[in-house]
Amino acid sequence: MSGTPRLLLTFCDDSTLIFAVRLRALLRAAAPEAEITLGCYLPEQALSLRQLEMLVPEADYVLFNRETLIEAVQAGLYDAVLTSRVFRALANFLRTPALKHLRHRTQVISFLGGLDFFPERGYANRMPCDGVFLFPQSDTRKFAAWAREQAAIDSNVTAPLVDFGHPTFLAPTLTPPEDLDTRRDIYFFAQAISPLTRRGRLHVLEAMVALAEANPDRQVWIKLRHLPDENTRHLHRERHDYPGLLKAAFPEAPANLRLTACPMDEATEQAALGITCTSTAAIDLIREGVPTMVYLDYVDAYMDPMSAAMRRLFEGSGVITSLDDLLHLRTRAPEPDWVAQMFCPRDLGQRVLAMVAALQDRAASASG
Amino acid sequence: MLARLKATLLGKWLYRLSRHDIFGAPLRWLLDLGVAEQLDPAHWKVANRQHNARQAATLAAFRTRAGGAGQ
Repeated sequence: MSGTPRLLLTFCDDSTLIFAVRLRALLRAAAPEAEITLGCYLPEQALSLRQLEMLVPEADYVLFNRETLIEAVQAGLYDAVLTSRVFRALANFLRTPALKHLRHRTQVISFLGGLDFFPERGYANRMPCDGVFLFPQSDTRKFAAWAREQAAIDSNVTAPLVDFGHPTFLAPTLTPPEDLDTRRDIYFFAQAISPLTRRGRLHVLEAMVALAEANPDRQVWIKLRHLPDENTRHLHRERHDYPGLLKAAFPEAPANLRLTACPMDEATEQAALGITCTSTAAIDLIREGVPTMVYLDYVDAYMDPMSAAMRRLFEGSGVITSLDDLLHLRTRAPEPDWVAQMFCPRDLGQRVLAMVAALQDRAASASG
Repeated sequence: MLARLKATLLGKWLYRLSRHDIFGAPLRWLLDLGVAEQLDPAHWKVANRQHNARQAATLAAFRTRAGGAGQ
């Protein structure tokens, strides 16, 4: 890479912003001189003011619409766009041979959005990108082989460079947090659409009520992904929000059962134990060395495609937990083999920069 | 139901359309109206009913033992 790396990290909602902020921290550590810009993509903007203030308090981002994003990529204003969502405009740009081949344009590197429950559907979206970061490790080989096949049968396609990793999926710390033994709080990490049904969510809520009743000396927190009036532009927005259900079904819930919408990092720093159904929070907890339970046997789980998909992803992890074990707070450590497949080495920032440099070299040699 | 929809090409298309400035809001409203989760035929499968009954019974037994079943 010639000179200081100029990188654009795009976002449009809470998950893409969390990704961008985490990747920015890794890149800053790997290359303090890099010029890193956060870019809010307005056509798909779904963040509330509270979420923006919480996740990016410096408000140091720039705004893009379809045209300005494409202009920036076309003019090569950045060395690379790093994104966990391949916006339609960007994908269309990269599918156009005359634009894809353009000398000095910005390279586009995509990451997964989070736990990918249906990875095969994401392959086609990522194929037009110049570089792709995936996980689990086995998927990098699968995708690379698939991409080579596509490139062999379509002369308009170039197989992207492929590497392993995601800023949320960094290898867990080898030692648990120093204060873990003194922590008391139990966190349940809610997800917008899983459990899917009202009955399923009431069941999970009742399990949290039961935990609070059985452990009056501990705080049981329901960590909300967002407040009920947020993320309303999502099709999969929360229909049965926990604050509403708690008020309606458990008006006399114990006082040590509480709701919070605090940042994820704050929750993982406080938690003695984290419980979730299908949330990526399970990954955050394992990464930070916090005992983790993934509960998938909730009522109406058969209605929820994410339950079966989560079970596939976490098969062999050791953290899928029965209701009885959950209620008795019986945890298991994650299996090392599974962890090695799912979590990437902590040098992700350096590897991203190396891929940007490799892509620039590839583009330079392709355009002669 | 929306999550199940999203597992299809149609669902992905609807997901994108739901963010549209003009069509987004009415589409989300229509889809909400169409959701009748309690009428889903999956609830009638014996295995599914047994699963739900088992989980509910485990939870009820725990609350009874812990002496907190007050709801």
